[in-house]
Amino acid sequence: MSGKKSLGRFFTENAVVIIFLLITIAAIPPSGFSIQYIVQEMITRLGRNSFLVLALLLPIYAGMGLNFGMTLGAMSGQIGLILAINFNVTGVEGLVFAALVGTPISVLMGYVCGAVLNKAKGREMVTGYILAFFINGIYQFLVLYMMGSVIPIRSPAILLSRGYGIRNTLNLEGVRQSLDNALLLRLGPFTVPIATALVIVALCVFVVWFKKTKLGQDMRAVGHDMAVAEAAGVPVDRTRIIAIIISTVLACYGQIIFLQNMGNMATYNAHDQTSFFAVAAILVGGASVKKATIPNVFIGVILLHVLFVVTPRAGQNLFGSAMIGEYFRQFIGYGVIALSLVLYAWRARKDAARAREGLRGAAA
Amino acid sequence: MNGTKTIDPKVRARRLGIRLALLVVYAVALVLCFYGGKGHAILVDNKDAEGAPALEGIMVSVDGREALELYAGDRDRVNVKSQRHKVRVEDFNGTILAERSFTVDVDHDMVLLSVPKLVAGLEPFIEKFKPLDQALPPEEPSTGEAFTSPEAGAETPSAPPAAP
Repeated sequence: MSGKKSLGRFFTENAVVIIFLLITIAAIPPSGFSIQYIVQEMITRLGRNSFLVLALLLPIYAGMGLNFGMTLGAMSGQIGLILAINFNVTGVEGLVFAALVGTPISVLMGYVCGAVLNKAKGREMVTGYILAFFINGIYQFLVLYMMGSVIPIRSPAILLSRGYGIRNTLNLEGVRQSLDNALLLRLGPFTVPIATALVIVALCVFVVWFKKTKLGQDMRAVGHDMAVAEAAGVPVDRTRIIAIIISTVLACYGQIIFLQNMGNMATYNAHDQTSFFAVAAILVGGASVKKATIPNVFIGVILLHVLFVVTPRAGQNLFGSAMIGEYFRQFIGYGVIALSLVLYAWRARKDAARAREGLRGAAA
Repeated sequence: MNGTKTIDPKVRARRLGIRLALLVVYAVALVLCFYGGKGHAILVDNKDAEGAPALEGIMVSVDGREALELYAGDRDRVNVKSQRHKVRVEDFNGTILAERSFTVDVDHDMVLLSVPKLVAGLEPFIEKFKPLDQALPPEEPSTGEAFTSPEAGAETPSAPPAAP
């Protein structure tokens, strides 16, 4: 009976991962892709997306849920890249330049986001999501109207023909894959971008180290119970703001890494779905609103992106239309987030009922 | 427990020092990245210049990269980073005709390197590239404001009448 219960518990706790794994395994054969191709794609996409997904960890530790406000950091990174392209700063230096320009902007954005989220305790996710829309309006105003008119832009190649505003798509030729190609390792048929991997490993080490610091412990305390943490002398609001600032800055760097890999930037909507796909990835990896680990990030990125790679072709082969696969991407992304949130709420309710039962039992 | 904390002046001074140092590091990193990563396009030009005729068959290498093969009248492009560079000119037999270091102004995105002038020892062999002014195509009538202004997309009254 106990074994059956623990098996049931295992399935409910890992329902998202299991469902996703089954769908992915089912989609691979009809796609017709070789394992070698899929593995190479995963290596590339791990380098491209892991940093962004890792940026979600600290707010989860601080009990702020999934930081949909990371879009603010992505916008900061994009402003940094626009300026790097404007000044024609190329290579890895161009990426560092973009990161340096983006850092103070993302710190400010993180502070604003953290302060707003402190006013909306318990509803951080939806508040962050809506805040991202608001800041998106300011970003559009800045990039579409201020750049070239108030903010001097020296490169006419990135300006709209009317003389102000940045073009819809920017060619990031100067910085394209400069981090990925800085150090390449050939392992048999696979090419591994070592420099990008090292940056991601460094961030993982930072996260592990940070959790052991006083601030990291404070974050865990705040995430566990704000009232208890406050009573213990932890500055709750300040700690939450710091968690969001760090997450926003990491999202800024993550977006720069993402875009250098892509090689071009959709100026006005590259950041739109940054948080959406990062959140979907970490949930697919088995994380929840309250609990996430570094392995969740990598499992999630691999599972989500295997599906992203194979579904368009599987849709093409099965139904004669690649659009079915594209539909699957959106459907599964949103579906995973919804399923995960529903399961989390259901589990929380069940745990509360179990706790009540335990109390009654103890009283009897 | 009035919420205000008195900080030791030494700690405050140390914090201020660390913050100022971080600001300096930030500024230095920004400047280093800007100068170190600033890209320039060098147009390696083997055309007749004042007092220096074009050279027949040369190999030009910038910063030790793969050499460009240029005949008289040829021009090729090399993209470089940072401002200090080295150019080496050889003939097809491997004889070094010239080897010089030069600096590109940070403001110049594209410069013209005249190989005949370089080989003849004439200065300046490198100068800012000024492209010929090109006639810009006329702006399209639609400005994207047609959503708010019905006249925005209409033909302007000053437009010349169509030819019969």
